[in-house]
Amino acid sequence: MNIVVCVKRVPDTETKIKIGGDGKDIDPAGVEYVINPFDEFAVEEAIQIKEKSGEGEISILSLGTTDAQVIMRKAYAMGAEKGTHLSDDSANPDNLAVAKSLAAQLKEMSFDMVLFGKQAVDDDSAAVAVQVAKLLDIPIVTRIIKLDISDGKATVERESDAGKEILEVALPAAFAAEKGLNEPRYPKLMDIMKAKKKPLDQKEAQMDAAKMEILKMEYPPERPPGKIVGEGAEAVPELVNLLKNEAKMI
Amino acid sequence: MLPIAGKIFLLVLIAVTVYFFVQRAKYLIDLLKLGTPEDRSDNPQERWKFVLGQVLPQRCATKNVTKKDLAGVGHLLLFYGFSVYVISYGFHIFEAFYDKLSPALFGSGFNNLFFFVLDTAGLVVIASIIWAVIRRYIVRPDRLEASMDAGVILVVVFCLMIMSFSVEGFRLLAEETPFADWAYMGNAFSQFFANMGLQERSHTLFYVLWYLHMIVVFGFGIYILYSKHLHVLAAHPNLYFHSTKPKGSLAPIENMEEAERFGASDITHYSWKHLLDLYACTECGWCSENCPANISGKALKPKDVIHNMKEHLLATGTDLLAKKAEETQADEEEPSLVRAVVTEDEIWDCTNCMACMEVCPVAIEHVNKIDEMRRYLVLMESNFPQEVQVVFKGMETNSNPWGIGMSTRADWAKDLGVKTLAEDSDVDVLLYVGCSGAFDDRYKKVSVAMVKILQAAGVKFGILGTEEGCCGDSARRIGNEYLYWMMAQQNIEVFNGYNVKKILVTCPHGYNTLKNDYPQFGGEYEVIHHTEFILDLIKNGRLKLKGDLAKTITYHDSCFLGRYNTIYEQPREILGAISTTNLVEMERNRRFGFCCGAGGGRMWMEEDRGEKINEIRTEEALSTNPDMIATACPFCMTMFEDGLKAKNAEEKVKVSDIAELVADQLI
Amino acid sequence: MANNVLIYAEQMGGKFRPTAFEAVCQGKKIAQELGGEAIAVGIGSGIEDPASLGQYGADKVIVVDNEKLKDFTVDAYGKAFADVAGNNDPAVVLMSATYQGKDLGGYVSAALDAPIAADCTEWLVQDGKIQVKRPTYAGKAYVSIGFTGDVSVISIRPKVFALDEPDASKSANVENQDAAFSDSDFRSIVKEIIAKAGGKIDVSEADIIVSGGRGMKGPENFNILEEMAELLGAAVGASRTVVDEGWREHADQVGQTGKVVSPKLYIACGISGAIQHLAGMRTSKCIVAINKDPDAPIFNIADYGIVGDLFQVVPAMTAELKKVLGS
Repeated sequence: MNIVVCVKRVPDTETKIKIGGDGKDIDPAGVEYVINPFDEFAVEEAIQIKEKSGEGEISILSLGTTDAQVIMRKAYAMGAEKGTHLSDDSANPDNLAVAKSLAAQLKEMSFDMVLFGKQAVDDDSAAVAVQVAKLLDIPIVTRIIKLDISDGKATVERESDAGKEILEVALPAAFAAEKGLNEPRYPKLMDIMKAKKKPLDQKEAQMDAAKMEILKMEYPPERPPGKIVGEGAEAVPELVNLLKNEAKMI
Repeated sequence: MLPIAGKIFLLVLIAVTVYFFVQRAKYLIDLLKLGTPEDRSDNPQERWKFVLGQVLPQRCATKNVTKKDLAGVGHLLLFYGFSVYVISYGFHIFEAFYDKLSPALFGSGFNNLFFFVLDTAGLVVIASIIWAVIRRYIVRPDRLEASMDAGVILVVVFCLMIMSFSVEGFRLLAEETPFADWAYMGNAFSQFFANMGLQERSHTLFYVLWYLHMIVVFGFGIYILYSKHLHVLAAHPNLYFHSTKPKGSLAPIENMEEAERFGASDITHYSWKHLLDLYACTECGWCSENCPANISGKALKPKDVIHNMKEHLLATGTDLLAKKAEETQADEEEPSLVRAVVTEDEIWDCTNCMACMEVCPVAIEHVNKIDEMRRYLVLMESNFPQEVQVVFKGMETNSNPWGIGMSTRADWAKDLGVKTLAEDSDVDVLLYVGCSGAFDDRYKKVSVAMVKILQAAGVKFGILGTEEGCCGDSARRIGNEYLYWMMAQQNIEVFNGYNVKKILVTCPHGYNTLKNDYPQFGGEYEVIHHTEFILDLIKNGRLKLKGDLAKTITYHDSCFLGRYNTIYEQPREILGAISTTNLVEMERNRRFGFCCGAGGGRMWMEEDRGEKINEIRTEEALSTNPDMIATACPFCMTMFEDGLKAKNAEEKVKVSDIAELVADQLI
Repeated sequence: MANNVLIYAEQMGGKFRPTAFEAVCQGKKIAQELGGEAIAVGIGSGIEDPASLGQYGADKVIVVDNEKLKDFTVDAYGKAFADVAGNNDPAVVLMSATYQGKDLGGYVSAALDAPIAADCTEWLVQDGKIQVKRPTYAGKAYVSIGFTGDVSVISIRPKVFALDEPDASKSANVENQDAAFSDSDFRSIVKEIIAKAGGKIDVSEADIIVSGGRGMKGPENFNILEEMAELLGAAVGASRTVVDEGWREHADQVGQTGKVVSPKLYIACGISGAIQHLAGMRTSKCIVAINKDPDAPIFNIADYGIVGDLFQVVPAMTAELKKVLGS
């Protein structure tokens, strides 16, 4: 069972977002970058599958600047053997162009499964996984919370508006991981050290021109600071009113 | 002087004893050599002073004497008494060959004095033995085991005294001896034997008992090497080789990039000094008696850890030596120490409070042993309490255990008129508030109080704000030395970048690690805890204080401030300066202080067995009927606030930090 | 010149969902600005009354009704939708950013060779081209996006755009289309759907959580929270002390060592806001705190707070909510 896991380097979710000088992207100064949390579930799942079956290879694929390699090494420390870094400094906002680039690389690799995280916590589009699957002409199920492999088929579980769905999928296939799929492991120090020596291929990403452009980036409208609505039960009507009409929560 | 046959017999006895003694001693020393190297050859002068200062006045035993437990006094008596006997054996053996010696060398007056002292010592020993037997077998305090080993020792020593008096008794009966009046016990025994009608055979019985006595002495000498009495020989070198590093200090891992192994999972992963610790253990049980984990019903009993490690070393010793000889590097799947001899529960139960090490008479380092096993579990197996993973992640990504966005680290200081070092690095002291001081709403108030105090005293200080990083203490104590190292490096780089010389820390954990651990990585600064600093300000008259605090206050000694850094009086003096009432002390205070339960990274772990340590300590505090509990540590404060809520006493009793109390008293 | 808007109208069990109406409504507005038609697409099995989409503004409805499409899979639905798109030359392809919409959006984007702007909260048409605004970084920043290709694929965030009243007089033309399916469109098969059990909602899945702390004083008092929760369709959470005391189960514990949650609305009753609890719910969109201690740290993080006795405030809230929600 050969598995490719696609990972993305993203800002940590606690980061305070500051819009940079050009007004179209965030200011990277002071930002801590991590492996996309959903991608971490995907990496962990791949490793667990390999540990269960005892054979196969796990490759990591990541598109981005050279900094992406730091993130790939974290996946290596968890147990992946090798990977390819598609080098691209353009920060192309066009998700399809990114998907095409990934798909082009994947076409040259042999795999039984491609795993993704359901969405990247910077862009939040949840598009690339499905785009790549379509480009590769393989089936995909997103937001899986359980994955079992047997007899060359995958059985997955996920939440939908109808309830809990169980699907059977023919391999090769793609899956996008949802929170709850597993608990990503904390790498052993030994493995962190070994990860530095595992093979990592760097190539230029084949990137199409963007068909979408960022016109500007702005902050959301100011949230009013928290307020004490009042004291005791008398304040309740005002609170409920605010929840309904101001916060639009109910 | 003995007849020829006797002398030959004695020589053979000596030779046989020496043979077995040396065999066993060699084996024990070979086992020590299985340990990793460690350099403890520094400061010989200080080391000699220490060991002599502990042993000669028996400080090792008496330091723990309390009204409830006078055993230390018993040991002092026993030690002096038996030491006299050991010296006397030397004389007796010599006399067996050259009985003309002693009067020739020292004059007849010597014999008088000699036997007077000897008999008195014998009485003292007998009295101590009887006292010891009563304690161990009738009173039965928890810390003492009614073991076979202890029983044998007590019985043998008692018999040696009786035999010695009997030998004297028969001798006095057999011949005219000039010192008879001085050897009063011998005299009494001789009277007794005379009454028993043994006058006739006193000569024979003298010799019989003499040889018997010697056999038992030599036998006992060998037995020492097979029992807990090994401490008699091992305690002295162990005290000599005590740690001269700051108390409770953990060693860094050298060369982490290339190391094949981290932490300890087998007994041979420890240094020879750690193994010597095992020999030196007297099994007094003081460590277990003072351990908060043990007291609260957890799995950890420090004495058992040491004892089990020792038994394991001795039991597997021959195998281990054989493996070493063959140079087999067997890659064992399962560790032979972790889980097999010391359970994971025991390893994680420890709060690193050092109560065990404080009371240990022979300078055993319990905490370091446990923390080495933690390093193995964390770094080699990635096997640690599940709730700790998010703490590691938080520290890695946002430099605080709660994982709160590090860009908000300076928010506590908004509108206080405080400058960061980035804005103005020309300061006399850096105020380092730590993660609790920056992110915990309750402890932010203490940071604010500290600022008020500094501003009132006109101190030129600054903060690092968002450039401040977690001190890393929790990571280190839980065993994640790699994470700790990264955080320490980061902080040191920032401190050095601003040419920081003096750091004022409001948290004992941050204080301890910045002061005592950072030098391991090239970070040398003058580090001061806020209680030390505030007391200095008060003594130098730089603070105008009302001094009218009229609450009944009990002060809780934080382990990392107290036992680790011997800061006991400064907070009390501060309270004295601002209060109109005297402090009420808890029974377990200062070096006997009972841990709040949060040290050793346990702040971040679930406590699901036994009683809650913080509730036990809160009970103790409440028993002093205070209005207020004063602390100097964010963890202790959290533990007490939780404890008071659990006891439904949070309305009656408040918890305050020393800094808050002083800030409130500013005029 | 392509100026039509193709709209995915999601259905469940044959009935169109409210988000479908939202999508059609917006799709029509966009089509009007582009000078084209609003074409709604229904895909499934046993779709009821497709013409009714006309009431929300659809000019035409294309229906792909096939027994094999009873359960949603992105491969099959995507193929059907992409085929329709291929035949109708849209300028804009629009869907609601639901679970299905997100999946479909990716598929269609790849099929039409056009990038997608997902989960949009605003749109405008400028120079005959659509521009959108969408949240990034979990809503900490919004980007405005323009398209330079021929087709713009967008999904809109549910419940953001107001729904116009349906015009009962309008009805759309319905066209049935067959999708040319092959076996390869069904490499994913839905084997089973386990409907949501009536009963406790898991805190980690809930949109709204009503949580109780020490201030609740005892397990028997949690019923007042459960009442409010039922009204709101919320889960009932608990602070760590409450779980330690055995008043509530560990599965309900919100906090650093319990569950870390991020619901739309978090109502904290009798919870002081110790840092370990905050770590578990800080990222909730809206936090309401009820506590009798005005200095409780939870008020520092709450958007709205009431200082008072929760035993009076909570029932009052339940009563008020009943009135407002008309339950």
